Formats: sequence, structure tokens, C-alpha cells
Amino acid sequence: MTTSRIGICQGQSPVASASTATATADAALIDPASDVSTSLPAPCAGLALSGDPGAELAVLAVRSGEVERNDARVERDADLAIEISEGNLEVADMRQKADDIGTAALDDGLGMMAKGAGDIGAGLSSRQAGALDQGAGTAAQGGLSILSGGYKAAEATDDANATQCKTAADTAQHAADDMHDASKNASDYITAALDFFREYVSTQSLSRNAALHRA
Amino acid sequence: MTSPIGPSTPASAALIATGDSCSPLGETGLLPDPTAQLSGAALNDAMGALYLSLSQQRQLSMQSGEASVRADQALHDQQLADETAALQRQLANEAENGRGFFGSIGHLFDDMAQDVADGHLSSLFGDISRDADQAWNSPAFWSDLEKGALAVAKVALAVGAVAATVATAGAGGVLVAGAAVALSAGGTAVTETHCFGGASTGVGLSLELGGAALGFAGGLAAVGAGTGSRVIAAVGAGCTVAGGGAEAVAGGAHIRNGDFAVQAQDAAADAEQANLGASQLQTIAEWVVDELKASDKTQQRAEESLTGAMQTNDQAAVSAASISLRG
Repeated sequence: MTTSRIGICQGQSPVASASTATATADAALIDPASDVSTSLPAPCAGLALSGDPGAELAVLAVRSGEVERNDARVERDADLAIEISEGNLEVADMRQKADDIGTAALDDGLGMMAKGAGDIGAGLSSRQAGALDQGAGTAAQGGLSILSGGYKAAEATDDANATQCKTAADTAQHAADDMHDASKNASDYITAALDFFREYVSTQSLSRNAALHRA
Repeated sequence: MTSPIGPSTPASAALIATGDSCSPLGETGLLPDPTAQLSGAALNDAMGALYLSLSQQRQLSMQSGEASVRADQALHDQQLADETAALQRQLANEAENGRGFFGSIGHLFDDMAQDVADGHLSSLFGDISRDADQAWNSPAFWSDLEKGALAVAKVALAVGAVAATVATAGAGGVLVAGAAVALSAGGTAVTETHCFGGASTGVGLSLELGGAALGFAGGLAAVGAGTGSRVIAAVGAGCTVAGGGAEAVAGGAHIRNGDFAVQAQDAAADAEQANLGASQLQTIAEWVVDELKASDKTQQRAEESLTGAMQTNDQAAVSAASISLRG
């Protein structure tokens, strides 16, 4: 349920809607040929080659931030997918351990019952036949103990595997957090570039107005 | 991607349609025709439409994000509830949980005595059935039963072995049997206490084999034992049968205890799965909130930029008008 809700395995970003909204808002300075879909045209698409140094700088900064942010989000989603996958493996190992516990207990219990049956036979029959019964019971218990030992060893292996998967999941989670921070930093960078461009255009307009007034 | 800013928005259509050079919405989009000559008023109209669209988009993004976070929160709560239920199931299947062997037996007799004393014979079978069911589902009952049955089996088998040896070897057999039992008991003690470190298993096994061999030799030497020893032999056989039965019971209880352990481990796996799911959903909700904040901030700045542009446009128009008046 969790995996399907998150949708990571289907290649969907869990935060796709928010990302798209952010991308749309920034679209004014982004190349129209990029993969960012928007309902609006890109009025500043020509800014990169406008010859205006401030505009070119702003466009380059926004494009760079956008690429960095998209990369960080892709990597973050990949890390989250790894975390989910490793978590599922950890749970599968725990369930495998449960199976091994059950099988080992069954083998041990059957062995004890076989030994008990042998002892009962020994008590009820003659000395020679009793020794035979007892020996058969003990042999059966020994054989089943060997089987049980194999499953007990598998339990330890399951534990080790589960721990390994948990460690890998934790590592992936930290990596995803780091990438999310990187994505936020890239967003801040884009915002700073947009602020710079706004101030730049505003200053230009004020200068022109002042020149107009002087004229 | 389908834009949240739909061309069917009446307010946008009205604003854009009033622009001097704007095309009707749905033909060329939200913005005016770039090839047409734009007056200051048309520019303001276009930017006003853009502002309205951005504002609507901001609102829609926020609503969509809130819905997503609410859905995540509901799933998160469900996962936490699942985790709690799984942990309770795990606890219920731990070996210490439930009424123990003597507690179950005592409770059964208590209920029976109560029913008989109160004259509620009709509820007697119901109480017996309920108590039996509780005992069947009580891990502590089966754990106690296994431990007790194993202890009984060890004692009974040891007594049976001694009795059998004494019965067949007479007075001398007592010494042989004693030595055999001492060796066997010593082997068991060494195996269980690990007093010889890594070699404990080997030493213990050797001692047990030595005890068994000595007992066997003693048995062979006991040919021709007297009639009186037959009673001891019968007692020994009875103890051996009882010990075997106890061991078989312990085996059955061990299987049942294994079943409880399996259920506890499965419940632990369920709890871990729910815990992981809740943690991942929480992480995703935090990411969505972070990106919503960033998106909202960006859109707010875009709106501010548009407002600034409109003001600049107005100022330019005022300047142009004042110049023409002065001219």
C-alpha cells in the first residue's frame, strides 16, 4: 500500500505537483525548449542572447539552478526508491526468519517426540528390543536436530541480512535528505537570481525615467 | 502538462478581452499578440491578466498541495495504527504473556468449583471450554508445560535407568549404575554450563557416551539377577515410560511454542513494515510542504515583479504625458 501510494517505483515524483508549480512560476526566464511545460510563453527566451549583460547573467543563473534542482530531485527520488526497496527486503528477511523459527521448532519438537516414543518403547519391551527402540528414537532425534540446526543457522543469516538492509535503507534515507537540501538550495539560488534580475530591471527603468524627465 | 490556468476562467477571459490588442482567449493564449503595437493600457491589461492567472495558479497549487498533505497524513495515521496493532500482537505472542500452566489449571478448577457451588451446572461446560481455549492460546501455559515436562522426563529417565541397572546387576550394579549416571549427569552439566569453553560440547558428549557404555556394560554383567530385582525393574520400566511420555509432551509443547514465536516474529515484521511506511510518508509530506513553500514564495515574487512592471509602465506613461504637455 505504501509503495503504491508513494508511487516512486512507477517513476513518479512524490512531490511532482509542487515541483511543477515552482517550475511554472520560474518559467519566465527559462528556455522554452526545456522540458518544463507551461501554459505561458517564454517572453524572456531571447534574454540569453540579448546582449544585456545583466539579463544574460540572470538567465544563466536560473538555468544553472534549474538543472541543479532537477538533478537533485531525480537523485532524491532515486534514493527514496532505494530506501523503500531496502525496507521491503528487510521486512522480507524478518518474515523468512519467522518461517525458519517455525521449521526449526517443528524439527526439534518432532525429535523430542521421537525420542520420547523410543523411551516408551524401551520401557514396555524386553531389554534388547527396548535398547533398539531407544536407539531408534535417539537416532531420529539426532537427525532432526541436525535439520533444526540448519534452520537455526538460517535464522542468524536472516538477522544479518535484515540488519544489512536496514543499514542500507538508513543510508539511502540520509542521502535523500541531503539531496532534498540540495534541491532547496538550488531553489534559493534561482530565487536569488530572479531577485537580482528584478532589481536590475527596476533600476534600469528608474534610470530611463530619470533620463526622460531630464530630457 | 495541463495547465491549471484554464482558458475557461471567466475573469481572465474578461480581462484579456478588454485589452486593445489582445486576442480572444483560446486562439493564441493568454498574452496579447506580440506582433501588434501595444499601447500602455494594453500592456497593463495583459499584465493584469497575467497577474490574475499567477494568483489563481498560486491558489490552486496551495490547494492541491494541502490535499496531498492531508492524504499523506491520513495514510500516515493508518500506518501508525497498524504498527500499534502489530506491536500488541507481538506482545501477546511473547512467551511470558498469558496465564501459566499452574495458573491455567488453577483457574479451571476455580471456575468449576464456583459453578458447582453456585449450582450453575449449565455454564460448567462453557467455562471449561473457555478456560481450555485460553490455555491453548496462552504462550506462558505452553512454555511452562514444555519446561516442566522436560524436567519430569529427565528425572524419570534417570531413575528408570538406575532402577534397570540395579535390578539386573544386584548390589554391584548399584556402583556401576551410580558411576554411569554420574558420568551422564556430568556430561550434561558440562554441555549446559560450558565450563570447558569451546571444548565443552566435546567433553560433555564424551562423558555421556562413557556413561551410556558403562550402563550397557553393567547391564550385560547383570545376567542372572535375583527374583527380587524384578520389582525394581518394573519400577524402572514405569519410570522410563513416564519419562518418554513427558518427553513427547515436551516435544508437542515445543512445537506449539514455536508457533507462538513465529506469530511474534511475523507481528514484528508487520510492525517494522508499518513503521517504515509511516516514516516514508512523513518524509514525503515534509518534502511536499517544503516545495509548496518554495513554490508559493516564487509565485509571490512573480506577482510582485508584475506589480512593479505595471507601476513602471504607469510611471512611463505619466512621464510621457507630462513631456507632451510641457512640449
